[in-house]
Amino acid sequence: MKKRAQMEIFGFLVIVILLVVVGVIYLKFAMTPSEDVLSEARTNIEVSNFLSSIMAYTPCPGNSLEDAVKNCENNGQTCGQDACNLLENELLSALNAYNSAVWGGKYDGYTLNIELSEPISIMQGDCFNTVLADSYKISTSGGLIQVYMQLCY
Amino acid sequence: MIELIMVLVVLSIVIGLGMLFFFKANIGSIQEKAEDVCDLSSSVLLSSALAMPEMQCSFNTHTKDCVDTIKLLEFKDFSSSRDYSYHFSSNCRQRVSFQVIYPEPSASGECTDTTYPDNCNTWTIYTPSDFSSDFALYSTPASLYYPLEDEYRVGRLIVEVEM
Repeated sequence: MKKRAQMEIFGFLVIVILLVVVGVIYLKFAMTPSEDVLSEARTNIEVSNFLSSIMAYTPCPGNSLEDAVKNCENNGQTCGQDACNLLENELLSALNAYNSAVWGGKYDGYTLNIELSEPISIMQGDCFNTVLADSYKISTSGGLIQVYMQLCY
Repeated sequence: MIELIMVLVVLSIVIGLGMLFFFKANIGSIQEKAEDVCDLSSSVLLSSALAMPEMQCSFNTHTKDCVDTIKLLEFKDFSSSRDYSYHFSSNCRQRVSFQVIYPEPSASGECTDTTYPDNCNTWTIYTPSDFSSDFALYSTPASLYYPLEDEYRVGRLIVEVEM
């Protein structure tokens, strides 16, 4: 009778240990942090802010890159140069400068597409993996011009 | 009787160990939550600081998505007052600054009345006292307006969160 009681207590102990082990394992998985949504949102805002900052940039006083886009559509000039050439050079220089100074060169490649009547496409580096993208709209008398940017890493 | 006491002792040890693991995991989780709050706070600041009337560009009362660098020069001088301490470091201690990136500035260093506009590249608008060297850095691009030259340059807003 005494031995049977001991066996039952031992069995009970085994069950308790098993429950504790299962509980600890459950807690470990339950407390695994979820996907970093905040970091992703921050990166998306970063791309959007970069596009609006670069479009506001003035290569010479009173003329922004947004003006250059409009002038490029009309085959005009900006800052005494061909607007389309200026646009391509400045966009690429700014992207390269920002990528090396701030992003530490983490983006392997980038593409910029400007939807003009003769579209401009600027590409640099490789774009095989994850892509971050955003667009910027420029309002003109002839309608909207969209500027798309993709960053690849 | 002795067996029962032994079982109870072992049981207590097992439950004690379980509680120890649980509380350790709980404390770790609370620390993670605190880091998340700071992370969130820095993200909010990255968005809200660019829209602060003390810094944002305004043309005949119309605001624009850029930061006026002359306003930054002035703002630096009085931002350490209590009101702004609450704004910038309410949840976590944060250092806030702006930096010019493109076109690459000819000189680096803090912008003051004497170095502005061409011999500097940074405006540190808020630094908590005894700010630690251990911090996490977050930034977002910002358009910086130079009213005297009527120029816009590409810069960034930097929020450094003390760890």
